[in-house]
Amino acid sequence: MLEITDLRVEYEKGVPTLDHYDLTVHSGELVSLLGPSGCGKTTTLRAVAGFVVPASGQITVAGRDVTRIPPNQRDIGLVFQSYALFPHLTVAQNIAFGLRMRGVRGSERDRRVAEALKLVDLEGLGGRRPAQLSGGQQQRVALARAVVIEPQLLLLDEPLSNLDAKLRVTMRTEIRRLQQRLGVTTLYVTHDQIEALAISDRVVVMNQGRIEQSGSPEEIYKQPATPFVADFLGFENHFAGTVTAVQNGETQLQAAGRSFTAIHADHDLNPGNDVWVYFRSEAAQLAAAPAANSLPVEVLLRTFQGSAVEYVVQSAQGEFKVRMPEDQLRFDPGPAHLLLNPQQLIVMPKT
Amino acid sequence: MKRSRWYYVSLGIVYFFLLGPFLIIFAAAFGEESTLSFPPQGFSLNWFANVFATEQFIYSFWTSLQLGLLATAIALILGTPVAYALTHFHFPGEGLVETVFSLPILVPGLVIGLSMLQFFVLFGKFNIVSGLLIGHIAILFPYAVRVVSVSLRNLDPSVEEAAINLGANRLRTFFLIVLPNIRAGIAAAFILGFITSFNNVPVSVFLSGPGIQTLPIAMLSYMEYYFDPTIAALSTLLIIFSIVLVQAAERVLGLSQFV
Repeated sequence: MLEITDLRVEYEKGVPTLDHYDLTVHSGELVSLLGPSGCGKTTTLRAVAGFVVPASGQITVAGRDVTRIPPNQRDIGLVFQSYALFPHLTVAQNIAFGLRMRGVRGSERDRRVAEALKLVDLEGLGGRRPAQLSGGQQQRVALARAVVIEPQLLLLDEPLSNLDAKLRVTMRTEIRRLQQRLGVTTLYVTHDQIEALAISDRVVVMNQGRIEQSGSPEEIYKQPATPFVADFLGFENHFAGTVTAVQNGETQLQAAGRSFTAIHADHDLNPGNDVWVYFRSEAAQLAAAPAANSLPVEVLLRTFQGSAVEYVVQSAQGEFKVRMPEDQLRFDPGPAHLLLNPQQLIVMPKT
Repeated sequence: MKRSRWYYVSLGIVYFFLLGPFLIIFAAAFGEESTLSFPPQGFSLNWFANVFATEQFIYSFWTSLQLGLLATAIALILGTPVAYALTHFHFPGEGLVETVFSLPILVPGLVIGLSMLQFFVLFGKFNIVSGLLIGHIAILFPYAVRVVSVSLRNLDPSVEEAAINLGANRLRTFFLIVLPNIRAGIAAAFILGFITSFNNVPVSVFLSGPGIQTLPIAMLSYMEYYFDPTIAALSTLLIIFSIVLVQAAERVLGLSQFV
């Protein structure tokens, strides 16, 4: 549906913001671009919308090459971070604007505007001005305005970042339901990993103008492919090690004189490779006695967090965070053993 | 907070020198004597009547009014696209364009007036009215560009992009979306420009000619022959006119956010 091939974008000559960038979004799919500010995710979106002219490469939408088509002829819906509603027009006039530009008039226009208002639950507010609406309502108007033209592709640029935390969760569900109901192919830009995981069919993690990893939310969350993705997706802990053996889907590692086993290492690893081992704070457990895949640690701090308890521990491999259910054995500062779950150890080559 | 005595003393000094001259003129306008004096003797409205009886003032008032309105309108029509270009595009020589457009603010009015006169004389064929008009457009242009630029910069660029994304071309976007949202800025520029033109002496003095004078020039030449309170009465009327205009604009548009 959306096909980006070998795209290169330069704001400054010779300094690419995006380079060798390939991305495919299938029909009806919601793909989010996730990454820190400056990673090129908004640039990608603006290139698709036509506000950024690429230095090279190709963008096609539904088989039509739009790379050189001006932004007002692309038939793509766009929702801005600032909503960008027209302040001098009413809600209904805002929504009608795209139809007006397409020469849709009279009762047909009124009907479609009314339908769009209903779609975003704003019936009866058509006569208001944007300034008279709450942030969430303005967001819905922006959505209605973008989808009323029945675009081939919907682009959303950090649509929730101006809302408070509670509304963000509500709106994100609404956006997803609306997207599924309309079946509109959608590209969603965000820097919020929870939002991306919750809303997407597929998450594309970007860093410095390149794609780090692309996969389902589960894959991205559980099997980060690069240290960057692991850090960005909130893996609290990592340490360095060396591969000693690879067999039967198990990787044997050596780190600071101890050996560990990790299952499901996706990479082509060979004995002797230097690797990073990442694990989440929930993937480890404190124990009183050593066991397989354990290492001796010193408990430094215990923090009660309601349903869970978080420990900060010191080991020969560095400082780790460990999160355990609240009802488990309590560890006070002092020596203990840290058990690492081999299923949840992510091993990736050092580059 | 207790304010010191010096606060009131310095405030008093500022007010005295700022408002004092106006108050003297204001008071002198109501005096009976035929020379401008302060404190005024007696009370009379004759001098106000005299203002309206002096044809020179009436004619030049209309000249100034028409000149101000027309010059401001043209300066805005020419200046708005420039402001749009300066705020929307980066192009080589951008800085130079901005400097050239602010020249009429930086160069003393007398120098502008003199150069304009020389220019018109050299290239002939300009009658006095068009000379005055061109001169005034030139001095108003930078104000128009500046004030309109400020209101363009206050408009979220994504609002325009939203219109383009929805299918409008740049021109339609400008008239349907941009212009309605910078109305207040344009009106502010209009009032500022009009007052600037209406009060201008240094440029008008060079470009006025037989039979065609602006009001300030008419006042100057009147004072060369008479020194009676008529001038004070006219000044009083002009002060009131300006205050009313600016206050109205401030009320309706919030003029001060643009300057």
